[in-house]
Amino acid sequence: MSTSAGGSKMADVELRGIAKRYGAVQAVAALDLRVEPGQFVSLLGPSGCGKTTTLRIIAGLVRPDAGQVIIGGRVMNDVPVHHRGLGLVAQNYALFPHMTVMENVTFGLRMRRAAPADIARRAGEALEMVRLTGLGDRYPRQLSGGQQQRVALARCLLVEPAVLLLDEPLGALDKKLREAMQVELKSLQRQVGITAIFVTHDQEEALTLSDRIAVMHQGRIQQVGAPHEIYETPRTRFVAEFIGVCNFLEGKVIERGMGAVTIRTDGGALVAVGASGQNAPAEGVKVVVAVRPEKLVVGATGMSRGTALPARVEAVVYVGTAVHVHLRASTGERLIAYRQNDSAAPVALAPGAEVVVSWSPEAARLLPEGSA
Amino acid sequence: MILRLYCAAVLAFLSLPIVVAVGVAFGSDKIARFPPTALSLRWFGVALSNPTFITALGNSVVLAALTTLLTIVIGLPAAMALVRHRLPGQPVLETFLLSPLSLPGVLFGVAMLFFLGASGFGLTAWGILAAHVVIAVPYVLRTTLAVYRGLDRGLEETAGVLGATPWQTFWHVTLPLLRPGLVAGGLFAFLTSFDNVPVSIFLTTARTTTLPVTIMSYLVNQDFDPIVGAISAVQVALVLGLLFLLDRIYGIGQITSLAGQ
Repeated sequence: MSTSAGGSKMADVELRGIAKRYGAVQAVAALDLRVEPGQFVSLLGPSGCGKTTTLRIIAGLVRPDAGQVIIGGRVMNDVPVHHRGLGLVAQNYALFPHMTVMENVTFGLRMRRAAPADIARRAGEALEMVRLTGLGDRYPRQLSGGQQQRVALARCLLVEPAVLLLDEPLGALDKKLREAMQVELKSLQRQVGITAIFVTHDQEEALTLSDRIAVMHQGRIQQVGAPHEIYETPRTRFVAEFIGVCNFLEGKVIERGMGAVTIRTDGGALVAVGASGQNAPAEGVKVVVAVRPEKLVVGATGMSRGTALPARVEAVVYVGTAVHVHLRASTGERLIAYRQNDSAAPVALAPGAEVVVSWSPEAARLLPEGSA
Repeated sequence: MILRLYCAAVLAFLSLPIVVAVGVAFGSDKIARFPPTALSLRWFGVALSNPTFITALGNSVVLAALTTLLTIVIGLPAAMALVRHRLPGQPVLETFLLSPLSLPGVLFGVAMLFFLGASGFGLTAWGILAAHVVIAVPYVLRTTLAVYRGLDRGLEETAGVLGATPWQTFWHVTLPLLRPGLVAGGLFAFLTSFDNVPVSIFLTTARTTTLPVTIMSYLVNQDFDPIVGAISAVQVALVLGLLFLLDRIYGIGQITSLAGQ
């Protein structure tokens, strides 16, 4: 793989205090974000969270009301979009319908008036890289969704952008193809070694692809971190809820012990949560306990340490790789537990069965109350 | 079956008058007769050697061509501004630009006559051109607006991100993608100008007369004879030739489907 088809210029991206308002809607508010060179960072959030606006601000398609966009150490606010040297793959790929694949792919170089021989050589390399060799004379409408996607990627990479911006580029593909493209996209990005910013509302996609994820909500970044950090140690209820499935128990701190805090839920159950003494909230503070369904153990008796709540099985849902057990604790809380489908009898639990649901203190997280 | 009969009837209704008008030109009789008793091309010779008709025909072609050019020069930027920019009073502006469509031609012709007189421009070829541009702009504007509104904004944005200057984006992306709208609108602008009587009749002089106006006054003064049929046949042939040319280049289906929008 030659470096000429893909950029070797990795750039970092820094957003400082970015804000954008559309009428009464604050699309992006005081947003700070740092993307290291060569990193794959996802902006993840529900629709309307400001992730696409943020991407468009980086691209130069939207002018922020406040804040700075710094790419490769250079403040880009007043640099017009065509001088920013970026690459963008849109959700619908935005391939030029009146141009062939070859004309699409070479568009950026032609606009820069590169030497024809140079254009032809690099286009050949780029098409090879995305496995489209031989399709140069086709028009976009003659290609499948996956092929169109790869044309859009090749078109971007050919101009050796400092940063690759991806606006839900996999959203229009069906599930199987999407997973294949995820793998392809990630390996391409690594191979080229380009900084990539990826906008998505699909948490699974973000977890799979990203070095780091920035979870956005109502124009703000709620948490930035590696996928496992976001999943294992969410800082707010929104993050815990948006990434995967989570059980929440609301209650009050009643005791701060050695390495663990005891919470009495609003229903009256006692729950132990691992927390170091200094960071633990004071007694009497209202908190939310978050615990992932796969951390819950459902059985006849509880674990020796941690939390153990008597509960009744309300429903058992078989999903193939796992069994989802819906429970109601004797104190009223509803819980859901995932059981890996690795036992001989996958659906041994029947609705109505009295069980004990338990989890270790380390499996649970304390979140501030009312954090949206 | 009924639908087919209906379509055939409508087509016959639309084309028979033209068949009659053109048909009489091929007769040898001195008075217009359909169907002609004997075939002859003599009236074409008479019509095409009539300097009044030839001048008018030349005027009409040049006028229609210039009208088409100017309506595109005006209509294209107007459509781009209306679609891609936030303009104050945008709907009002759009309605205003399209309003000549709903204005009676005779009324506009009279108004233009008064305006050209009162403003001191007088009855010149430029006055007719201006009038034709005003009535033809809505056609270009409408078709171009329709195409532009259906165009993904992301195409122009992506071009920009890839390094194209705004001018390059216009030239390599926007303009080629708007071409069907411009061709369809331009065709209608040409035909509007080429066929126009109600406006032209107030503004033309003996020197600047157009073919439809000349035919009209010939009919008023002389009567319907095969010479009129012959010159009408020439006019129809020119229009058909233009349509044929556009069909070969762009495909007429694409153009007519746009005109319906």
